[in-house]
Amino acid sequence: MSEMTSRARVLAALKHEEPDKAPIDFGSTRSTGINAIAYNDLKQYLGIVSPTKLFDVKQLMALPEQAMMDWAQTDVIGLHRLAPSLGLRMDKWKPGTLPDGSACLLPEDFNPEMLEDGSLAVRNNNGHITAQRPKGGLYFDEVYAPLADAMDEADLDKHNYPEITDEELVYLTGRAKDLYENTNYAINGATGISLFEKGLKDFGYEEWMVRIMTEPDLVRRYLERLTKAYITMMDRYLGVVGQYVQVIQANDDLGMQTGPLISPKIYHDIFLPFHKEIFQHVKKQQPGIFVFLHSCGSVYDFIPDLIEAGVDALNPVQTNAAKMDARTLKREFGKDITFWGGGCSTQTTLTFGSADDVRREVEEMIEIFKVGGGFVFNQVHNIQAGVTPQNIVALYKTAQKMR
Amino acid sequence: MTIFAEIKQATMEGNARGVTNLTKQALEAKVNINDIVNDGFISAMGIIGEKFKNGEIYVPEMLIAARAMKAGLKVLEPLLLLTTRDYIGKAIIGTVQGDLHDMGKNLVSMMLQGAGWDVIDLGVNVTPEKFVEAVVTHQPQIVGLSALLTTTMPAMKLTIEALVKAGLRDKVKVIVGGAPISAQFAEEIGADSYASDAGVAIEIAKKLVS
Repeated sequence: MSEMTSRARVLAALKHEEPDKAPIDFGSTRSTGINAIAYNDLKQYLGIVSPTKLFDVKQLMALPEQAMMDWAQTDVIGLHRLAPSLGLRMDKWKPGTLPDGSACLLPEDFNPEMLEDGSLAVRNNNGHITAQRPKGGLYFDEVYAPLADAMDEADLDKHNYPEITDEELVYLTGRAKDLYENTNYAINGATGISLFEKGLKDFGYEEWMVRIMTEPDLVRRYLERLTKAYITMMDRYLGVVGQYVQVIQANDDLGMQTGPLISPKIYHDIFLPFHKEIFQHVKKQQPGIFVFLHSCGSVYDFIPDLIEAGVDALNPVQTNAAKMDARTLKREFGKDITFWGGGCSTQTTLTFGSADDVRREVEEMIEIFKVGGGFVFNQVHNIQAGVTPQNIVALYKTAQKMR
Repeated sequence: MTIFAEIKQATMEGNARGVTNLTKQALEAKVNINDIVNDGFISAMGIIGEKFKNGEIYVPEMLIAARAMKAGLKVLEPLLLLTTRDYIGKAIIGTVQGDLHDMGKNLVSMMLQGAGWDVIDLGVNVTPEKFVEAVVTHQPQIVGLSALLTTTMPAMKLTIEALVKAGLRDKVKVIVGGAPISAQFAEEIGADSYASDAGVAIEIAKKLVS
């Protein structure tokens, strides 16, 4: 087979046609990337000197630059939202440092305040602390649940639902056109579409879980509003970048380590109809586009419904969670869904194993997943701080050899 | 059905209003308060924990049961202060330093309360010093440590080392849990046990003190 371009390779894999070699993703999304501290360690190890852009402040993630994308041989690039996390724009930068003291570029608007206990806090325009990072910690967590006390539809109507501004559309159009015309990468567009997880954030974790049981009607009214907002947003989004992006991303963590977070029946009855409405609408507006869903943990029981909803690719394929055995997944669902991830367990092997352990796992996973297409190589979720450069080198070099 | 069985049933169903009304009825009938707690709430939460562990129910079902139990305990609260409640023991629990994730920790905390433990929840981002201080103050039998991130797992080790240094390690049993935690890791850092979920945690806590 003659050498395919990266874009053609990813499209073939998503169509379940075996490409010349399995595609690799290095950092195209906020769940297939790398922590900035681990990234700086890796660059130092490889002798690559350049400033690291911290594009995702919440998760402390680096925006891979060209030299590193070349090193990893990525086939996919991300089209990120203008403000990927915590409302911080990624078009203007200033020098800063990471929690380990190494240098980076920070979003210009990132001006957190330090609270009494030494943690850092970010506020929204109304003065609410929306996210907090504990002293010594690496992650900001979202701590503001605006709908925690919502009683009725009137309260739901007062809520701000996701949207996309004209200014952002201009930014995205320029960026997408440039990537499409001047690179061969498949372009993976971030959207922020999320139903179950958005509810967790808007209502607060416990409140949301309880209301799903005790007030399913109010939950449905909320999801209707959210769905309507996403559909409007996606019409505007696809109107300008639809011709350039091959994949759009959604995220909804539905699993825990040991099993589903909510019952598959509740997902089927309450959430599936809305996921389906959004994804089918996107596909009608932009025929040929693929839907990528990030959903952590043990999600085996949801996969048939996710396929029905229109999900084409599942990430991160957390192979160390319950019922997420790679062979079983490939055998049962490999013809209907692309596994985007699953290349090496970040919670176990990649973080705590040796480079040889990493090599062995990557070899085994690629052998299982790459057959017949339907696979894009990535480790399970983001590479965390503290993962050694040696292990990351083993991860990507083995993938390049085996794919 | 006895009133205790009715309270148990309503608790398992997560019917907070039902539990409140039934608990009030039971009080009017002048039944023993500890019987309401043991045969109603604790018995219900034992079954809920078992079902959760077996994958028959999920987080929302467990949460509404715990809320229903709390509603019932609230009715009893003024009286519980006057009588002695027979707790299984005392447990302190918290998410370790650097980590703000409390979903799993809160479930374990609720389930321990439901299983009849006196639980002191220290919250999130708890430093080793705070754990030591709490052990000194409350003298629990169990210390539960939670972490979601691979990068905060080392704080579990530091917490156990702080307990050793303070001469308190052999006075408590340490249980660790959280997404990246394993039995092997628990052993490596010198914890007494690893709990894979909230249902397992209450079983282990009971075993460790019996």
